[in-house]
Amino acid sequence: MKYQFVVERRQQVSLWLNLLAVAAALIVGLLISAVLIRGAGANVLESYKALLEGAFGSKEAILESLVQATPLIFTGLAMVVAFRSKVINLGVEGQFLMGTMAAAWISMNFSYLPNLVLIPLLALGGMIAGAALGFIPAILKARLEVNEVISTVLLNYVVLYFLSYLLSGPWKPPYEWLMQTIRFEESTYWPNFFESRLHLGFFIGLVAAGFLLYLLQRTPFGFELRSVGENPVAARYKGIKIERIIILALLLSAALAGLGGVGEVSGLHHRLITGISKGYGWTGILIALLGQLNPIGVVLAAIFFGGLINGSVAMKIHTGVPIAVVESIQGILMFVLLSAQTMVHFKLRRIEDAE
Amino acid sequence: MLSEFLNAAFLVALVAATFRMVTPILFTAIGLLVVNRGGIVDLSTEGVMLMGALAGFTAAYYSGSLWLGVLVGALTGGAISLLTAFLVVILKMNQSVSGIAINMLAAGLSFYLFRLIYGSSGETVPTVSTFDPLPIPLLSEIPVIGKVFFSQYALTYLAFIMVVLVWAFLYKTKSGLVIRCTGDNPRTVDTKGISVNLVHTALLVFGGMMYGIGGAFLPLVATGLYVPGISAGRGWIAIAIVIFGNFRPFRVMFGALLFGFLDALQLQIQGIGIDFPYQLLIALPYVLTIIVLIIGGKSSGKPLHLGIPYHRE
Repeated sequence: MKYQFVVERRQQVSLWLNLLAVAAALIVGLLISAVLIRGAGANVLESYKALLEGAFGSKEAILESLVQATPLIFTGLAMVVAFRSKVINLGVEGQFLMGTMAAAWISMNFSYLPNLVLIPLLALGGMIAGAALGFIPAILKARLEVNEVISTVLLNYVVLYFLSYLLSGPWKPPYEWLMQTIRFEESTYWPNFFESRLHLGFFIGLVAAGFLLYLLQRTPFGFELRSVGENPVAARYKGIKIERIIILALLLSAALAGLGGVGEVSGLHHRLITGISKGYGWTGILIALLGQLNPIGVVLAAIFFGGLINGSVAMKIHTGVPIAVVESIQGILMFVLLSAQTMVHFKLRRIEDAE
Repeated sequence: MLSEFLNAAFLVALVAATFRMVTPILFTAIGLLVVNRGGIVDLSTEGVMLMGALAGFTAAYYSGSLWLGVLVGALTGGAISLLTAFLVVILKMNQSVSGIAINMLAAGLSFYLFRLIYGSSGETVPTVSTFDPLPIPLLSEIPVIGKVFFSQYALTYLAFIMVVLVWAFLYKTKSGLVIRCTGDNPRTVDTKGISVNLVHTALLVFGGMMYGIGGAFLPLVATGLYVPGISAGRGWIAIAIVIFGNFRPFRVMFGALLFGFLDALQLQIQGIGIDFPYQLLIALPYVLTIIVLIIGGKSSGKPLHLGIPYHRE
């Protein structure tokens, strides 16, 4: 009997198939990344072992991985909000930095307030600052049809240079050699937990994920947001004001990013430093996709990636692989993951020839 | 008298610098224009420029040949765009997301490979001696104009020649017509028996080579050394410029010149030492690019099938 294979599009992709794609992408991604580790002249198995132990090998390691995961939870959630409404917010990096600047400004000017007032004030300030930056591309897109991909990216550079300006003069104490602010008063600190660097930001991140899950699944706004993302034409027929949803989605996305920035300042560094974001906004894209655009998934993906960042330090010490390998693994995972997730939409079907 | 002379010298330097600063963006924007006209959105420009810059610099550093550096930069860009082609042509994935993925992949790799090749100690910064300007005989002798237009770098001339070539190719040849049709209505092209996938792949590879040359220009002409993130958003600006240029070669060139002028202006102002924070000056072109996007917001020349994957059935 003669037969041939044809490629067909699946009607629906089950959750399990999607998770299988994620698992396959992780495995393939780490296999490809092994080439980079070999390229650094290191033993691959030893390197991955050092990475794993450095990431989750002890209680201290796990806590530090959660510290590294914290900003990624926020940027990942920010990307989920954007992606769910089909708004491509590439400005999460800049919005995150706005959050750090707001936290620094509040910390420098209102440190006389009691800690219990400052904790929520800092959070609020960061969210407003992030959202303020997000408002520019939002209104430009909704009112003037300016492509948000470009406007959000360009604003990142503006914010980055502005921050660099602040840290080179106005916010830098004269005696300071490095580009950073003074160390802030203890009244501005977000509390730490488990005698580690793990801070309130992580738990706020968990709450934010829960809140977002509720918002997306159980509220009219969440329904409208998803409708706009899934089928804007149908959404318009349902009477949803698309422009309003786009603006609100970008504001929410940017506010989450800003809140993440506050955590890094008020929970971790207690000062504003150069390079406070190590590209968290960009990693957030991968986190959101790895997490299947689901808030719970984002938390898991962020913890995985936090482990990768944390473990890369141990790997550097043990086998000498540059820490920059994380950036490469991130790019490779992104490529492999997207390929895998697209491939599961297709299936091979055997058809028998009539003859 | 003296101030007048200074002003004239300042202006000549400013315009000459404009043409220098515009080169990397012009290469990238013209490459992207062709890709866009074929109907494909490509957001990978920034990352590909970075890889082109690193590969081009490394080839020049180890071989001593700057032109080999340009070639390697172009080939690297083309090779990376093959990955873009895999995602958008074979898998028919969302083109914006694919572009972002390739952008992250290329940027991440450039960061890691730089550390791997040159280490992170920073004790000796590897440098190459950059291209010399190539004054065109006779023309460069003309006062002022010669200095501004005809004492540039070979790659700068090439970028402007590419604008004319791309225009002639798109509007005066049959292949150009096919490309424009692919961007507007791929089905008609398919009906004619021309493979849309092949057209798209070829365009992406061409585009990638152009981004690669644009990237390689930075270390090989502008700076003489490679620093991580050297393209500093020029890939993104090129995307904005193509939109502003309404997907037309000469308007894109005009948009690129506008940006190059602003970039040159901020450099010259830094150079004469006005007491103004230089970070805010550097940020200026980015702000103006956003404003330019607002002005050119409604793109009537946008290819009709831009960004929509083409399915055969």
